[in-house]
Amino acid sequence: MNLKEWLGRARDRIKEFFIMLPWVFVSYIIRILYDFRVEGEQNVPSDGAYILLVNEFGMICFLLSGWGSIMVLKDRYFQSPDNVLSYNQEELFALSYFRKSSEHGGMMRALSPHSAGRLALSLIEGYKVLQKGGLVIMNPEGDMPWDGRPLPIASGASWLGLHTAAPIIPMVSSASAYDIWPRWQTLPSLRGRVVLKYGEPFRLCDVAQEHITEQDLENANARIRAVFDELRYGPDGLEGWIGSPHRNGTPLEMPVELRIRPELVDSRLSLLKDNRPVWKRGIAQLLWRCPVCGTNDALVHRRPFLRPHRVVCQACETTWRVTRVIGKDFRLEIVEGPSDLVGLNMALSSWYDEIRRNFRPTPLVVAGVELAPNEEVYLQLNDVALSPHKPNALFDGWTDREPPNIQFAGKIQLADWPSIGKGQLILTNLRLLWRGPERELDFMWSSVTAIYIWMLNTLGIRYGTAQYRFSLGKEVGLKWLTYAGTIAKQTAEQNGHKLTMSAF
Amino acid sequence: MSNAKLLSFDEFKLFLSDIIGVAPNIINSDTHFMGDLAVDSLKLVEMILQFELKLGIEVPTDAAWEIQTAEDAYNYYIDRTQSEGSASV
Repeated sequence: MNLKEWLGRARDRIKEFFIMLPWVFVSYIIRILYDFRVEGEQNVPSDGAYILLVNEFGMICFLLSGWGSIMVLKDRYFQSPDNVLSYNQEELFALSYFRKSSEHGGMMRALSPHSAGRLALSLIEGYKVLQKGGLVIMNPEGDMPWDGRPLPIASGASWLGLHTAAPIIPMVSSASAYDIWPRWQTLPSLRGRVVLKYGEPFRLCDVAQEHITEQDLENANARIRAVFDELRYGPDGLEGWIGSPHRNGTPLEMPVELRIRPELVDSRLSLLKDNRPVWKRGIAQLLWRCPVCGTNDALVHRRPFLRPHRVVCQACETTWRVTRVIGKDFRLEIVEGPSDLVGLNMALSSWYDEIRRNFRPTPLVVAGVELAPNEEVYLQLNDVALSPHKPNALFDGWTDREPPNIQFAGKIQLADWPSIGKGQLILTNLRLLWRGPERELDFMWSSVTAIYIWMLNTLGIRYGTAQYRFSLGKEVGLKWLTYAGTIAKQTAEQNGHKLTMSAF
Repeated sequence: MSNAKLLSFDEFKLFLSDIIGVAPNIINSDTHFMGDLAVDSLKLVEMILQFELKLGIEVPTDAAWEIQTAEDAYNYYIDRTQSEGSASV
């Protein structure tokens, strides 16, 4: 080995050291805090093509899947980085590390959950990596649930698995990864136990399929779902994780179906708008509507030091005590409120089901807006920044009232969402109306093909093939997603067009 | 294979319609796959893969981003077939 080669190797080793260093640190922290351990490491092949599917249902899963990808697969990474391709959230490419990796031939590619659009074309590269005997890493759910329950499996992983017949290795955290750090919680809890499990390899087909039908994809998605759920929840399944409702300690046999009681709203109480940043509002981000009286934005999550957390409705004064059950869903018990409900104890996801089950958009009166016949306003908000995804004709002299519904051909600018200004956003049964300082834009539901929430409270839509985002400031994103998703789904069903959405 | 006959646009439409799952007569040169035919992203990926499997034409991701209409797809097919002597169906 000459000096030049030796220096090259030394440089590679130093680079590897600095890539590994943060993950070594992460592994010590999670071992100390959460008794972290790994199961099924022997299921990971040392060579050959395979698809590693990760599952991220709590914030700590970002660390676990990052650790699992880097530490366990490091040999594959460092020996042949061109043969390892991972799909990541498009937003990560706002960070220069990801952007440079993508631009300079690195093997990271961007996808957006529910609105991949033309970004999905990079699946062809995953196909080629697998054909060459490489490794593809992706999260087939593409998003993180608000309530900890599984999300629908998107078809990209199944498409790769069926076209290549490559083995699939599921990498799934134990259920406690949710209660350690749910999406609605600002910081992680400092106790809990978490296991990262590599499941046994399985194939979606014996021989690579040249033609794939919708039914093939559905069947493959269902198989991945079943494998994920078994690893995550064990023999008790999702039902065991949720648990049954109780009243004063006695299990209730029948599912509880509450009715909304608007008569409980006390008009003498003033509904104080929670002015904290949305990420500090805890469970109120999920329970954006009171499951008892049906008032929007009425719940406040209170966290007294060393005492149980409480959720209080400012409209009807119903109060819940919050209990974290390690490895299960959170439990919320009514401790003050209507006498027939006091003592009712249900999983957080069950309370959330109640607000979804009873949800109907109700019209608002908004002055100064010209409405079409039969058009009703349901939500409105000021100071909403509108950000089209580049390239978009709005940046090039577009003057129509309806925004462009086609994204120009050409290179997609990753994580490039410049704002065109702040304005009022009005959600009606026909459109999303954005009234900016210089123009008004009508996003008709009949042209909306995808709706999702990015981070906590940015509403994203795909309009035809063009993508737009609305920053909702201090509003809860899930509320807007529920309204927008409900109306857009009705419109899509009436028109017969396809719509994809974040789960809500 | 390089001497194989080039597909006409009508023959190419049959190739596209088979992948996308629509009648060939609703595909025109300016038909936008995602905008007019509501082709979802995975169908678009499938179309690009079938370019490679059936027509023997490799489509890099950057080039695939440029293909939005039936005419874009046909022009790409013609350009690549003529420049590389690729196969017909």
